[in-house]
Amino acid sequence: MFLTLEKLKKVAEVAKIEVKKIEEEFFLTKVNEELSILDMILEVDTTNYTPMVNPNESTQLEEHKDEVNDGNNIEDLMNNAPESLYNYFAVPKVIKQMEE
Amino acid sequence: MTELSKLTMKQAREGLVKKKFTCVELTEAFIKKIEENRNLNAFITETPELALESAKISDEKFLGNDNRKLEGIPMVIKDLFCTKGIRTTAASKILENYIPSYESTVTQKLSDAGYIMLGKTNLDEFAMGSTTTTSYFGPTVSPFKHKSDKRSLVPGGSSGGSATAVSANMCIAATGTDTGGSIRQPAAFTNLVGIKPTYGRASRFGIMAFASSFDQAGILAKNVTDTAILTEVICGYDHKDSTSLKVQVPEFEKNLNSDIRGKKVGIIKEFEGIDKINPEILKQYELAKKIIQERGAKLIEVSMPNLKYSPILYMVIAYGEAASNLSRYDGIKYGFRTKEKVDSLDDLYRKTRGEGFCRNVKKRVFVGWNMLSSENYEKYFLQAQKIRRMIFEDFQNAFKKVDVLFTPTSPNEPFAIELTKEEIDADITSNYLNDLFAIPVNIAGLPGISVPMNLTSNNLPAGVQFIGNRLDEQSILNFGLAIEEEVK
Repeated sequence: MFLTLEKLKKVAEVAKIEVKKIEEEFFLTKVNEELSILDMILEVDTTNYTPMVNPNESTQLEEHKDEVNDGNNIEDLMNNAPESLYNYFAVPKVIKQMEE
Repeated sequence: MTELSKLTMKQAREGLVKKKFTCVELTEAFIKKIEENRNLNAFITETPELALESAKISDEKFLGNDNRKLEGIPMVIKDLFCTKGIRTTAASKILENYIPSYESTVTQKLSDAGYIMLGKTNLDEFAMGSTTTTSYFGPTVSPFKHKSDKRSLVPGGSSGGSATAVSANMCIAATGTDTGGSIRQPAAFTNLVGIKPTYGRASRFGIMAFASSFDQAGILAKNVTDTAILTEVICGYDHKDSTSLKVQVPEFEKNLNSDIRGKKVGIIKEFEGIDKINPEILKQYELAKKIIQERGAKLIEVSMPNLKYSPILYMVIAYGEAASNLSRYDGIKYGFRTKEKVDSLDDLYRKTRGEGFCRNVKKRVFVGWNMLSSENYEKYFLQAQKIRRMIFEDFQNAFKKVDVLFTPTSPNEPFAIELTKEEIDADITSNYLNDLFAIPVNIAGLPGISVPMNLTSNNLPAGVQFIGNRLDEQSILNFGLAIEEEVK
C-alpha cells in the first residue's frame, strides 16, 4: 500500500491534524514506510475465520442501573478547561459571513 | 543494614514491621535518591510533600497495628494513570497541565493498600514507542552504561521512566502499561522483572487509552517476589472496565514455587535462528535454557506459523484503535488549545492537535485512520482481526503441549539515545524488532513476564520472557523465580 500526498491530506483531514507544507514530505515518507510491509497479510487465507475484536470474547457486558453516582465536581472539570465562563466551556467565536 | 533505597519490598515490609526504620525515613531515603538522579529524567512530576504526608499516616497505621498490605512502600506511577488532583500528562504537550478529577482503579487499589506515591514517571508520548525518547518532557536515560561506549542509553519503553526509577533505586517498584511490550522490554533493558498480566486481569479504568484491546497495566520491580505481591494488589474485577474479567485473583505471593521439575517449556520454532538477535542476548537466552533443563523442566519445540504477522497486525489494529482513542483530545474541555487564530471549529481541532501531538503520535494516528477508511477497513483491518484469531489459536494449540512458552524478551541490547533521534520512525524493521517477541503476547491477551539474566559482556542487562496460558500468571512467576535463584 502506498499513499499519495492527496490521500495523506485526506487522512489528515479525517484525523483533524494539521500538516504544514514543510511537514508533508516527512509524513508521506514515514507513513509509507509503515505501510510498505502491510500487504504481507493479504496473502493469508483467512477463510472460515471470523474477526477477533478482543482477547476476552466471552466477557459478558453488564448493564448497570441508570443512576447518577458521580458528578457535582464542576470546579474540578472547569479547572482543566482552556477557557471557561460562567461554568461553560468557552470556545473562539467563529461566525462566517453568509454569502449574499 | 542495607541502604534503605536498595531494599526490596519484602525487606522494607519486614523492616517497617520490626520498627528498624519508619515510613518517613524510608520515604526520605527515596526522595534523596530522586534528587540525586535528576539527570536521568525519570520523572515528569515529583510528589515529595504528598509522599511525606502519606508516610506520616502510614507510620500511624503501624503504631496502631492497622497496617495494610503495602503500608509505607514508596512506589512510582507511570504518567498514563490518572491520579486525582495530581497532574497526568501521558508525556504529551496536549495534556501538559491536565489534572484528573478522578483516580484510576489500579492506583486506587495501591492507595487502599497503603502505598506511598513518589511521583509520575516519564514515558513515550501516549505510550507509543519502545525507547522513552518521544516524551514532550525529554528522554529518560538508563542508569546502565556500555562497558566501553559512554553514550547515554535508552531504558526501553514506553514505561522507561518507571524502569529507570526502579533500577536506579529511586523507588521500590513501579506501575507500567504494556500494549506491545512496554513493560517487559524496559524491564529487560534495565535489569528488572516486568509483568503484563492476562488482558482483563487489571482494570484499564483511568489509564489513558492507546489501543484498547491490547493495553494492560502491570508492574516493574526488582525481583519476582515483589512482582507477585504487587500483581496481586493491582488485579481484580472492576465494573468500570467493561473488559475486566470476573475471576478470582490467586494468591500469587503465597503460591510462589520455583520447583519446575516435570514442567514443559515451549520453544517457538519460528523464533529460533532469527539472525537479528544480538549475540550477547542469544548467549543469555541459551544459558537460561540450560538452567531450565538443569532444574528439571523439559524443552519442547512448538510451531506457531502465524506469529510472523504480529508486527503488521499491531500496526493495523493497535494504530486503528489508537486513532479512535486519541480523537478525544480536541482542546475544547481540557488540555492544550492552540493560541493561533482560527477560522472554524475544525481549524481549532487541526491546529490544536497539530501542535499538541509529537510527530511519532501523529504518524501512528494517520496510519490508524488510513486502516479504518472505507476502502481499507475490510481488506486490511478485518483481515488483521481474522489473523489475530489465527495467532490466538496458535497459542491455544501450543498450550495443549506445554505449560509455558519461552523467548528472549527483546532481540536487542539497550542502545544509545542518540541513535533514536532520526530513527524513531525511520527504520521500522528495528522498531518492530524491539518488540518482536513481546507483541504476540498482547495480540492473544496472555500473561508475560521478563526476568533478568546475567549482565552481558558489555555490562548491559539481558532479559528472558515466559509467556503463560490465559490467567496463568502463577506459572510464569514460578519460572521467573527459578531463573532468578540461579542468576543472583
